[in-house]
Amino acid sequence: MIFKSNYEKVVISILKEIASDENINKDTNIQKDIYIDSMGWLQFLIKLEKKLKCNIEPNFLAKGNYETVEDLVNGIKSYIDSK
Amino acid sequence: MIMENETYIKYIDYYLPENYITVDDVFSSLDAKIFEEKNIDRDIFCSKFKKETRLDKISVLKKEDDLASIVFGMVDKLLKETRINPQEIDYLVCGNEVLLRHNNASIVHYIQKAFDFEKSTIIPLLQPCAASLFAMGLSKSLLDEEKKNMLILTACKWEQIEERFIDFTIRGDGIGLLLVGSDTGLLKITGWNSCNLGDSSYNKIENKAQGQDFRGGMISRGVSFIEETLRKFNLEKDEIEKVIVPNVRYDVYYDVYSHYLRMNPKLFYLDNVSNGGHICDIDIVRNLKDYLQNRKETKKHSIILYTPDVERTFDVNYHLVLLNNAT
Repeated sequence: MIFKSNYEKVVISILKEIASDENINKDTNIQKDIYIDSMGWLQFLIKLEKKLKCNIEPNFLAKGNYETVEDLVNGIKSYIDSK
Repeated sequence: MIMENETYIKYIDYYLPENYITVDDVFSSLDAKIFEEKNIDRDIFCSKFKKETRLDKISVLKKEDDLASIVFGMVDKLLKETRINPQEIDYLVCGNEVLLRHNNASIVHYIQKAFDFEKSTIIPLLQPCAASLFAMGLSKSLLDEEKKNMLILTACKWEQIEERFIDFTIRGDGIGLLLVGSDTGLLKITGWNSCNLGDSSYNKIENKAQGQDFRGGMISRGVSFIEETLRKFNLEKDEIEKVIVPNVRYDVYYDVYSHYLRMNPKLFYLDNVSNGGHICDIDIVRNLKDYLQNRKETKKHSIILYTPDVERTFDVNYHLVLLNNAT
């Protein structure tokens, strides 16, 4: 079982790498505070799959509305737990 | 059921202007608002874009370059090299609006008249990033023992530097020319498949919410389209020699498509990404020609041409052509 804190750590570390932004934390607003383009988000999902050893469909992000990094972490956790 | 005939690629040529601008030139010409809206500094954006896309030089026709005379020269060269009788050109396919409306003239009509292709029918296929693949597919239904040859002409020319940056990639200028015939040729067109993704227009007209992540959905559909097509053609991934794709950017095929298709990223032809920019389906014509010129002997003989064509409306037309050695 993967704990929420582990998801959070993995998600934030990948986001920092893709956005080249060390200031990202769980409260960061995804829409306003960081710039990641559509390709960046796909790279994010691929890196996430590799780190969490799971499959995430490429249009996963289109199916949810995530405002903060924490929302995204919760969305990913529910998605993986439901599989 | 539509009868499918055997057709072949008989001749491939392209024109890439020697004149170019750099990715930095494009970004420094863009309005600061574009980067403000993205909430990113222009220099950081430019350096990330170059690293991720690997685009560098963008081929650009000079203002004084005359598109009609360059196309004329290419068709003239084709006729001399193939020695084909102009009366045997049955279809003249053109793949971009610029060939129909250039300085108040239609280059494709001019070519038909200038070379006396009097028996040919002009077919405009306005899916600029996929028209050559679309035409190759149609050749299997349109060409037979009576109607033998199809000339496929495709061109890209952008007037304003602002038209070149389309977020995902940067567009360059160029011309592509193919001759497809029903008798014999360099490569056999074994199969063609296409599909259209009309979510964007459907959602707009029906007042439904648009998905937040257009690119993710588009790539996801592209991946399933390729998988479905390989199944339709009874082709295993390890039978594929090369996948010829457009020069939109390096990461989308090397990292993303290869990951979701579970294919070796080296199968994708990406040698021309840094030089030229994305030049509609001229990318495919160019990459195929360059790949064949440097091709080493291989036991695998299946070459795939794949491209998505994104409309201004964000609807997408996917095309895939399977090529095999002509025996």
